[in-house]
Amino acid sequence: MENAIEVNNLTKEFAQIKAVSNMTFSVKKGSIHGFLGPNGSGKSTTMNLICGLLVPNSGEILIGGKKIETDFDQLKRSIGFLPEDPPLYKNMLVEEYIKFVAGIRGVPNSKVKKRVETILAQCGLEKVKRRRIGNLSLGYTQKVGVAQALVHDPDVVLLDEPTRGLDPEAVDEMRKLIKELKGERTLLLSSHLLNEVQNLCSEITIIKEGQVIQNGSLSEIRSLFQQQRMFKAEVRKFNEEIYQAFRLRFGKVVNLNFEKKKEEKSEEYSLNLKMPKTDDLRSEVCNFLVDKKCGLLSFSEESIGVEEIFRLATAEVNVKENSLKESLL
Amino acid sequence: MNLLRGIILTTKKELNDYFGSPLVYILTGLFNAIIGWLFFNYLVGAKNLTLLNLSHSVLIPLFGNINFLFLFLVPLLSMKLFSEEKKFKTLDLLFLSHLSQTQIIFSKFLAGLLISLFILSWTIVFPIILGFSGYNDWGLVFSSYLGLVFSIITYLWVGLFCSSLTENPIISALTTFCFLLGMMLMVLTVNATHIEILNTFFQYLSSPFHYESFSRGSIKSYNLVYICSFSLFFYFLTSKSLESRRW
Repeated sequence: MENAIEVNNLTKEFAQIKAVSNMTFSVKKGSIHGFLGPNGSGKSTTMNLICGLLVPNSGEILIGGKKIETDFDQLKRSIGFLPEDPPLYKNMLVEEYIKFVAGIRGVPNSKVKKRVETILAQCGLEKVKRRRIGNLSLGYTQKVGVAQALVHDPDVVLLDEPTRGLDPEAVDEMRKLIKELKGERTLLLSSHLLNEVQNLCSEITIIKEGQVIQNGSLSEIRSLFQQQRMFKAEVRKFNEEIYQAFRLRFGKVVNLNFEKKKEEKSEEYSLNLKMPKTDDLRSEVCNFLVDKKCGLLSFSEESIGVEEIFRLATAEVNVKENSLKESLL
Repeated sequence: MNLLRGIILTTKKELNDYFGSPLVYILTGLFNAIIGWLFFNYLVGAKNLTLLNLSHSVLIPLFGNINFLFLFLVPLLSMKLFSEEKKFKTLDLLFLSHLSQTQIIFSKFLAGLLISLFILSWTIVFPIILGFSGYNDWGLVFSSYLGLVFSIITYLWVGLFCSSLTENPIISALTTFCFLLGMMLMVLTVNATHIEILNTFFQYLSSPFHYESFSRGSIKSYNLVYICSFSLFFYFLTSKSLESRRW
C-alpha cells in the first residue's frame, strides 16, 4: 500500500537537547496510525515537524511523496492539524470561527457556507454553533479543534492527543468521529492512552526519548512480543485437587492460574493459561478439563494488549541502555 | 490564495477583535479629551487670532502633541497583534493556512493602521472649528495629517516587530515604547555633543525629525525614502522573527 507520510532519519534539537533522534517510520494511505509514547517522548515535536511548523536539523519528511521542506506551501493545503492545545479564537462564535478558518484555508467563497454546515454537522457542533468558543465545555472545544483541522477537506490529518482532558462520554464521541474519518483520509493519532490507540488504530509507532522503538501493524508487533500463547477458559468446577492433577499432567509447559468469578451467586471459575508458541496443547488441555468433569463453558485465545506491548517495548529499551552504560564503564 | 481575500479576511478579524474590546473606546475617549483640552488652552493662550498666529500658536503645537501621544497609544494598540496569537497558539493556524507570511504581517499592520486612523480621525474637529472662524491654511493641515500618518506607520512597524518577539502583550507594549522613546532621546543626546556629522546621522534615523518637515509643510524626498526604508527594514525583522519560530 502507498505511504501517505514517510519520515526518514529525522532529528530535531532544541538547545543541543535531542527532542527527536534519527526517527524513521511511515504511515500507510487511508489508515489510522497510532503514535504512542510517554509524556515528553517527542510526539508533539514530531507532529509539528511533519506539518512543517518546525524545521528539522536533519532528515526528511515526505507527504504523498513530496518533501515538506521544499513544497511546504503546496503541501500545507493537504494537511489538517489539531495540536495539543487547539488554536482557537475564544472570543469568536463557533460558526464564525469555522467560516474564518475555511476562508483562510482556501475554501472558495461559493462553497464556504455548505462546507461549514457539513463540518458542523459531522463534528456534532450544530447545537453550539452560535455560542462563543470561550464559553464551551472542554469536549466541545476539542471538537471545534477537530472541525478546524477538517474544514478544508485535507488528505492527511494529524491529531495530537485528541481526547486529552475529556470525560468518558466525550471520549466516546471523539472516537466515533475519528472512526468515521477512516478510509477517507490518512490519520496520524498521537496519544499516551494505550486503550484509545488499541480501539482506533491498525498500525502503531512507539517512541521513547525521541526514538522509534517499534513500528508496524498491531498484529505484527503483538506477535513479536508475545512469546507465549495465552488462553482463557471458563468452567463450572475447579479446585486445588484438579489443579495439582493439571500440574502433574502438563508440568511447567502449561502455566495455569485459576480464580473464582467475583459475582456473589456465581459458581464459575476462570482459568488463565499460558503455553509455548511451539507446542499446540489446546486439545489436550480441553480433554483434560472434560475428563475431570469441570464443566467447560468456554475456551478462547487472548491476545496481548497494547499496554503490555508498550511496557515490554519501553522496558527493552531501558535494558539495552543499561547494558550499554555498563559496557562503557 | 488570492492576495486581497486573505488580507481582507484577517484584517476584518483583527478589527472585530479591536472593536470587541473596551480598550479602543477608552483610548479614543482619553486621547480626544486630552487633545480637546490642549486645543482649548492653546486657543486661549494665543495673543492674536490671525491666520499665521493660529497655525504657529495652535495647530502646529497641537499636531506635535498628537504625534507625541501616539508614542504611547501605538504600543498599546499593537501589543496584542502577534503576542496573543503566540500565547494562544493561533499563529500556527495562520501559518498552516493558505496565507503567506507577507499576507499575515500586512493584514496585522493594516488593522493596526486602520484603528489608529479611527482614533486620529476625531481630531479633524479642531481644524474645522478654526475653519468656522475663517482659518484657511488647509495645506498645512493636510501635510500635518500626512506627517502624523507616516509617524504612526513607523511606530506601528516597531510595535509589530516587538509583538512578534514575545508571548506577553505587556512586554511587547513596554519594548515598543522604550524603543520609540529611545529613538527620540538618542537625537537629543547626540544634539548635546555638537558633533555635526553624528547629529545629522541620528536626526535622519529619528522619526520625529521627519515629522517636523511635514508639520512645516515642506516635504522632502528623503522623508519619503526614510518612511519606505524604515517600513521595509522592520517588515524584514518581523518576518525573520516569525520565521525563527520554526528553527
